[in-house]
Amino acid sequence: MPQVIDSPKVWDVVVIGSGAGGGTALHVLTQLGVEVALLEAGPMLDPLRDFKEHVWPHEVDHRGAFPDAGSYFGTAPYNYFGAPNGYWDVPGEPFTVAPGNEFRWFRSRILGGRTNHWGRISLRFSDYDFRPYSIDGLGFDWPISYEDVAPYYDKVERFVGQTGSREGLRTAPDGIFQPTPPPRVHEVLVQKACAKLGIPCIPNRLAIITRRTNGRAACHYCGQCWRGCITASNYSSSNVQILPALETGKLTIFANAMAREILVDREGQVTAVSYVDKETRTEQQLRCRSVVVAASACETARLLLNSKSPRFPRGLANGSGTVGRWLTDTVGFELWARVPSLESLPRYNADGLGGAHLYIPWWELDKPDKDFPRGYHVEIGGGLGMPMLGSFGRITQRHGGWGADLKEAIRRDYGCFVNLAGRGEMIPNPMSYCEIDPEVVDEWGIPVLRFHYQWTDYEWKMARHMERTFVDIFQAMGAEIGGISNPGRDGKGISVGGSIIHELGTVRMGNDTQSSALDRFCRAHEVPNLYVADAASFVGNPDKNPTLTIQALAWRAAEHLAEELRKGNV
Amino acid sequence: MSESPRSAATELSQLSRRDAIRTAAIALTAFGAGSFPAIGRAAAAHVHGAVAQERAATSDATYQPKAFLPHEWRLLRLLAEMIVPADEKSGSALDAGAPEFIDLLASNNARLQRILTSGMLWLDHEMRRRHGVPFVEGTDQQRVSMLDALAAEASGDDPDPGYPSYTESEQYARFSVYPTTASREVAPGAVFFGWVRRLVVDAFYTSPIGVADVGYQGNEVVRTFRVPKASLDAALERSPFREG
Repeated sequence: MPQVIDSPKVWDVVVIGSGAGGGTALHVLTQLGVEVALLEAGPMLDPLRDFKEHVWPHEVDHRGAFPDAGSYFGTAPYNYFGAPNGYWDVPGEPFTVAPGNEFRWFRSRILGGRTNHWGRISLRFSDYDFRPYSIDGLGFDWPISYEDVAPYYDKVERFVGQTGSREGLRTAPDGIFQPTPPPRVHEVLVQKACAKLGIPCIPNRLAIITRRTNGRAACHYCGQCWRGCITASNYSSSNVQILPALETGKLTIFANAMAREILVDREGQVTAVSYVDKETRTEQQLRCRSVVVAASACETARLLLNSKSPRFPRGLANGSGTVGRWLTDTVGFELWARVPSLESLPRYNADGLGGAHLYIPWWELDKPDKDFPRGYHVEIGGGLGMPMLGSFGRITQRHGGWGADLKEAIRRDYGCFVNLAGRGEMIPNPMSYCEIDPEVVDEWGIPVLRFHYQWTDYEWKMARHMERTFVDIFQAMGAEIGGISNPGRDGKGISVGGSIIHELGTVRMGNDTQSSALDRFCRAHEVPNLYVADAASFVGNPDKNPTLTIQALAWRAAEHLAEELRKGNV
Repeated sequence: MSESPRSAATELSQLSRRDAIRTAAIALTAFGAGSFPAIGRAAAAHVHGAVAQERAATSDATYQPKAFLPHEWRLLRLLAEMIVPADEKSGSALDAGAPEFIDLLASNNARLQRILTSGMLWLDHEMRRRHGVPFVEGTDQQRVSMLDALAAEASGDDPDPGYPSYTESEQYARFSVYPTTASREVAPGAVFFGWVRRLVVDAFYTSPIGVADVGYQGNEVVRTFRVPKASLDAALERSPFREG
């Protein structure tokens, strides 16, 4: 009896991973009539059962702490009210970090992956983001330009829908926008402070629909995007792409299926994907004409590195040795302040979109003599949010007392706090990469990743610029500056690597087959029927959150693959 | 007008409101269903076991604590009532089910239970040392001065942050509002008090009473998001951006 059970069916495409990349790829492929098998390492998602949108904390006896008080002791697996199955630690699936390095890795194990609860910030890269090396001699140029990607940004924005306003800023290219609702009170104050300082502060660009779009209802402004949206009024690949794709009859989902290895024939063409069926703890195979890997940048690198064969002894599509290298995350730093002019604010329903209604795009592109390269954008937090566990911890801490006085202080200071979060560009460096740990396997017997990660002076100096800027903005608002918003993450003065959850670059594209793994269509140089559709393909990590570009590149790669299938080339 | 104590009737009206929200959300979805008919149909099943769980969170004089002995339960209820008392606007942490919430968590978490029960022993010991009586038998003045002493040293939100302190920046030192602790005379009790205060505050403000107390108006289905002029003007009037 063979250990590995062979399936006679040959799929057109096996898509590995169901987040923004996998979801977009299978949407495009199934629309073009291609038959797709999807491997998802976690369970199926039923949004109506699994999303806790509109649930009050008091409707749950533990109020969201979990019955064992896990949220108070840092042992809760995730935020109770958040969309499910995202973890900083996946039980049974460890990773390691090399001594002297620090790295966090947030993984999701569920249909839709991290798109179920992401921040929905949807920003186009700028023209200069695709050729940074040509401009300042750091990092690498992409093999594609803004003009190559722009039509796919258009397609994604038309299909997914997103908010925004036309501003004509080079650092924030305009797209196809639906109206962003008006700014909340605290956001108006930030905008006015920015105006004083000559900093732009513009309507936010979020993958949330404020007009009915492609059969999906418009946002109902409950501010709970992070819990998952039962009306599918924001983008999650599960709600917007994968569940609808089932109705085409072209998609078959294999849930709880952890990809183990991509198999190739003697010519180096992919012939099958093996996966561990977590429910039966057996290894299975799907035969296929092509594969799209979109398991998230580091999982994608891990799968390729674990797919060794005589033809590819260093891992699949890794003749260049670049798989796993050039890992970057976003530079993060946040400060909070208390704004006295918001005390005892006349109450209103400030829920709105599940995110800020304004944001600050980079504004010093043309400034000479900066002491760090590239730039960052700023995300604004604050408002009269739903009271949750911990919502009034900061007020309690500042007040320091108890009783009727404390109760009055909470009434006065509720909604008084504003948070500014810098999100900046890291320059790829050779000290930051992932590789297979030679000694550790996960509970499925699959060798795990070992991370190396170092910030350089470029990022540290950028974080100090963020800090000075936030202090300036807060002072212009007449705010009392509090401190680091997230000391467990930014306490050393810069976010811990990986903690902003924009890790990418580990299977990068390029024109040079010696220094890159993928071509300009995210197809492996060495394996013509292997594509990568997540942020592993990114050549750089600009100060724009990666999801919109993941979707655009996945759309582009999927169209290319569909055409190759149609021509009989794969 | 006094709104306290909130009763089961209030809780039921909160439930009805939630159901109304959900119904409205479903209606919106159905209206715009298009290629998502499954969402509208199955939404009716989207209940999350709310009713039974909500019952369990209400305050009840006949409640049998799982994690605390009778004398500890009396002390916990007294502390809850002192930390968030009833006033002319709303009820107390007792009305909001804070002791039951704490009992649920402590009965499932031995570390939390130990923090609380050891803290109660410390508190009664300290009260006897100072005043010759356990906390619940002290005078109002004795109890107030005891809690004031603890609060002065309680580190607040996170008694054991477990992360390195941030010292890289001069700005931080200059603008930090965190009080520094001078005396550590009541430190063990301060850690305990920090936990009790945090749990009581959380329990109160996540209850319908607390939500109404701070005036949170969301968790609704809204067709058009608006910011009222009165709210905006109130902030601008007091801000550096006041016109004129």
